Amino acid sequence: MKTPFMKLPILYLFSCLLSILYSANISAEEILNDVESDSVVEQTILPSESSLDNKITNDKTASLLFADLREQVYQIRVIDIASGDKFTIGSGFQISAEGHIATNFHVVSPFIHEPKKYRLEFASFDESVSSAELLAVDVVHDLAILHADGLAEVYIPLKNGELKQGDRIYSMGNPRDLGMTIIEGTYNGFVQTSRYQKILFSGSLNSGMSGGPTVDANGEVVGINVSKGGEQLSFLVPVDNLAALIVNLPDQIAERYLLAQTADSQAQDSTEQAEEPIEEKASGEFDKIIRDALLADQTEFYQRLLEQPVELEALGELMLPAKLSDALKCWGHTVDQKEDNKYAGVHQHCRLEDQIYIKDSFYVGDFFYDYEWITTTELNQLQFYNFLQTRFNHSRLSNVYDKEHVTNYQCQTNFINLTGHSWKVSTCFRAYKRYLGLYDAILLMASVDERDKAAVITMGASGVDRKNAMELFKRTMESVQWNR
Amino acid sequence: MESLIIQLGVKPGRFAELLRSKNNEITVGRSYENNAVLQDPYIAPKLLRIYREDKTAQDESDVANEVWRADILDHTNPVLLNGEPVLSDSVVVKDSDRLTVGRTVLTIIDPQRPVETTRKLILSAWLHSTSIGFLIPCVALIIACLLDGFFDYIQLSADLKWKQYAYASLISALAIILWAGIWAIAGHIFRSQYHFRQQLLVTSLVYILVVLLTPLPAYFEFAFASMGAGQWTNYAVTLLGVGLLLKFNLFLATNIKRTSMIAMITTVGILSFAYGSTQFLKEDFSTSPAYSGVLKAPFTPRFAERTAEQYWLAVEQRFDDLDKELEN
Repeated sequence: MKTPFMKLPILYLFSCLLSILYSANISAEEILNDVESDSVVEQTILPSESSLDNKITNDKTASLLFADLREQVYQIRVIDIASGDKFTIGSGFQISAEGHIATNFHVVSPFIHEPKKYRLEFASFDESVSSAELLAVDVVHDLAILHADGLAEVYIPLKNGELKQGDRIYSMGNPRDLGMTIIEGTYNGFVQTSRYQKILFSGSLNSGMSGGPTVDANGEVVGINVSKGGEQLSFLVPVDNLAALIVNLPDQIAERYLLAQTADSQAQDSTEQAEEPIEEKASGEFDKIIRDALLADQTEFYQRLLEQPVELEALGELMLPAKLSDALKCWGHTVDQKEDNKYAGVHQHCRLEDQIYIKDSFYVGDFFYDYEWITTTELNQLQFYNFLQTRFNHSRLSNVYDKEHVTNYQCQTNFINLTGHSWKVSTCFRAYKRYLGLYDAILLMASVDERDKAAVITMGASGVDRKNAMELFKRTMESVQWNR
Repeated sequence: MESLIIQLGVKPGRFAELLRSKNNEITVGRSYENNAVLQDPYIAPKLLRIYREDKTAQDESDVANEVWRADILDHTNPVLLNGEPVLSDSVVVKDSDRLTVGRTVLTIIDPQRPVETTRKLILSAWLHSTSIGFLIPCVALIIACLLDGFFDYIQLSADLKWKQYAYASLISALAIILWAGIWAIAGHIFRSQYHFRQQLLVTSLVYILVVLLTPLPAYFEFAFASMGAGQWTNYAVTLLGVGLLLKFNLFLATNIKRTSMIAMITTVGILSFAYGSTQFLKEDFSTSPAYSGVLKAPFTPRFAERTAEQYWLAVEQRFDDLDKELEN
């Protein structure tokens, strides 16, 4: 049997990511025993001149920074119109003299998907509350830009330069609606195996701080708080992504304006359907922008992956494509044939740990594959294939559970002859209803012509277009070779 | 007709409850002086007098002139002739008329009424032989259980898990015995004969057949890489197994004439119900894919193999279907 322990690190990271995203919903009344406040105690730093210098100045920087920046950091609230109360909260900060506010996509996502049900509001340091307008989103990097009128012309500048690993950085935000806080932590460079650049922040972010700024000692933004992975293990969106979104801002506004224009003209064309397109426009204002961003993002990833030459690696008697991308995290384990299990197995699985948040219970960007080589000397053919059948399962993409977003899976299952060996292959996919052209696709194949040995290969990708899915699966299938 | 028979009910498998007329007359009522004493509180002490009305004055060979007549002696409750109330005091009755008195139905029978031709018994030599001992059914039962265990063993595990197999076999044996027992009781009710050993034999034999056929649907599904093939084979095997079992159970336990037809209709009904309810309960949205997940050895179906190109064309076709479906 598979040992579950190999999967644990992944699961743990996952659950932490999920929990921070989910707990954005936690209301102010929910009392949580916040153990993590103890983690203020810092790791001992090897004494060196510079660190000592820093330590002396650091003691003051945090308080100085807080006093300096607190007026530019806001609590972002998504207000449920019907009840008039806040539905989710997050943080945000002013990035221009004209009143632009940056935050996370996931903070404002309820509003993006259901603009009729929610409205956006932000609270300033002095508890004054005003409404904000959503201007642009970057779903892939989890960023959004809002705009509000009548703000002071003071803003937090974005840093344009490199940090050194170990540099002190300071994160601001309003955790769990408890009040504006500042956290001191360490910059630890970018996460190594990740599809997107993410800053590893050794500090303790909490839900509600999402969208807040992380600044260096000079008070320049280096990243945007986004999620946490464990104790003293948090992630920031690099500020470059925010800078890119700012550059992209006029384009996105123009695009939405154009979309609204065409929708309006369509509405005028047919008086009978006058109401419908307007509603569509209202609820799907950002759909096209999200869809285009997702399409472009997956194309970039999969095209780069597919352009690389296939390197084969041995697994049992098979030659299979080796690690397909550096962004993947791979694990492996071996099962020995013993008294109580009558088969031997080698198992290798790789998975992307990044997911793109679309909304509650809807993520895209999954990519994984599993290779398993199973042999036996004790099981007869019937027993062996009965056992193998328990392994012949499509892995579930657990990214979305909602009928509103995806169709049912369509499957094609056949026997295929690959280099003289017979395989049973099943390909399934389902389409995204709101983001046309994107699919979840899963591949499952097992060799079925040997008496006492077999391979099972599974692969899955969520939020992938048809062409990339087909190419990926074709290439995987066609590069399989028997090593004899 | 020279005499008349009143049938008081149908109790299959027993002597027919008949009353034959004596002295060209039958009296029916609740009091003990009648020929037919019916203990039904809704019947008068003297209710009917059925007698031959002889009109043979002109021609004795003219049978049609012999008429049986029923006099109704009490009108507390209406007497029904073939479901219609008789308003007069007297009515002519003939063969296969039904007279309803109180809450009892009497059937008039002409002794010369032709009866159906004799049906031939199937497997009469041993299935109906009362001398069939307990040995043959028990051997069949044991074979059924052993076969069940053996199939589990060669398909499921390399270990001889004696306890597990013995336990499963005992459960099967118990189920077979119970099933045969229920039908034996039914036989006693309908035919006054238990036929337990025969029921046990038949049930065990059908069970053996079912055990042998059970893997078939999975192999069909595997060979055609199609869930439909598996499902329909499964239905066919069930139809055969349950149909055959019911046929013989009914045959041994009842006097029903068309046991094969009734068994088939019942099985088809059960299967239709099962199929209908699965269709009805099927969720129209599921996050898990539906695909044929059966793997079987060693019969790799070379005939069903495709080339990779053919396969990807089929997948593209699926994509097209899905896209079309989305457009609508």
